Amino acid sequence: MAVKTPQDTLTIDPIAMNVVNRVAAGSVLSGELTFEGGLLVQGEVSGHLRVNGRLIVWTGGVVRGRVEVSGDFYLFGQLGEHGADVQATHLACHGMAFVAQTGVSTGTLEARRLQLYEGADLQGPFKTLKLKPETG
Amino acid sequence: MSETDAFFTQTIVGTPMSVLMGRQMRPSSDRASEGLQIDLAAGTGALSLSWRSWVITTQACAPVGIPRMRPAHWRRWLERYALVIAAAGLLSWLATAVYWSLMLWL
Repeated sequence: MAVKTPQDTLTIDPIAMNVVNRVAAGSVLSGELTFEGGLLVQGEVSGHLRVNGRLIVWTGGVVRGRVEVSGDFYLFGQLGEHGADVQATHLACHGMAFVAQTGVSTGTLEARRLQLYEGADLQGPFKTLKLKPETG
Repeated sequence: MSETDAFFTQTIVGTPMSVLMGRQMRPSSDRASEGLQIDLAAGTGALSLSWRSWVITTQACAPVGIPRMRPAHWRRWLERYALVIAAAGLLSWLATAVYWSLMLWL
């Protein structure tokens, strides 16, 4: 008999998690972007992104291009573009990547650790990120 | 974070909220029984193939920003009706006090 595992919930506390930036639904940002602190994406962001904190892609949110995240990454929306090459979108996460049941990834996902949830759609490759040893 | 930053963060990004992540993907029960493989000749041990992905995908600790287990049905029911239960308890206590007061008075 299959055992039904309990479900997880995530409490997003913007202040405790230092998520101080937000791209609202309907907004489109493109280009070379740097965010100091975490970012909540409900609209569309593309280009070269650097997020010095956590990145949360909300349901309906889309992230494309080359992305570097210093904290954890939470995917409820979409990473990459449907039908595009997997190399077109590349996300490097220095923390842990969570792909929720509504999350879709068609790009290349690189993270130190990955947590997948049932229903998550991981179409692109996943690579474990090895941090360079500290010198000195 | 300063009070001003906290104010703008809460105004623009929003207040704390909970979101359902779903069920964690784990090895299925039949494959999970494979467990640890020990080479008797060499004396070395290694996790079987199905457990290697589990090691990568599992999570050990739960600090800020880490999903936690969703409360069970009865816990959510208790939280939803906590005020009603508390009010019922208070009313029953008051009713008992009134009853015994009347009994002693009469």
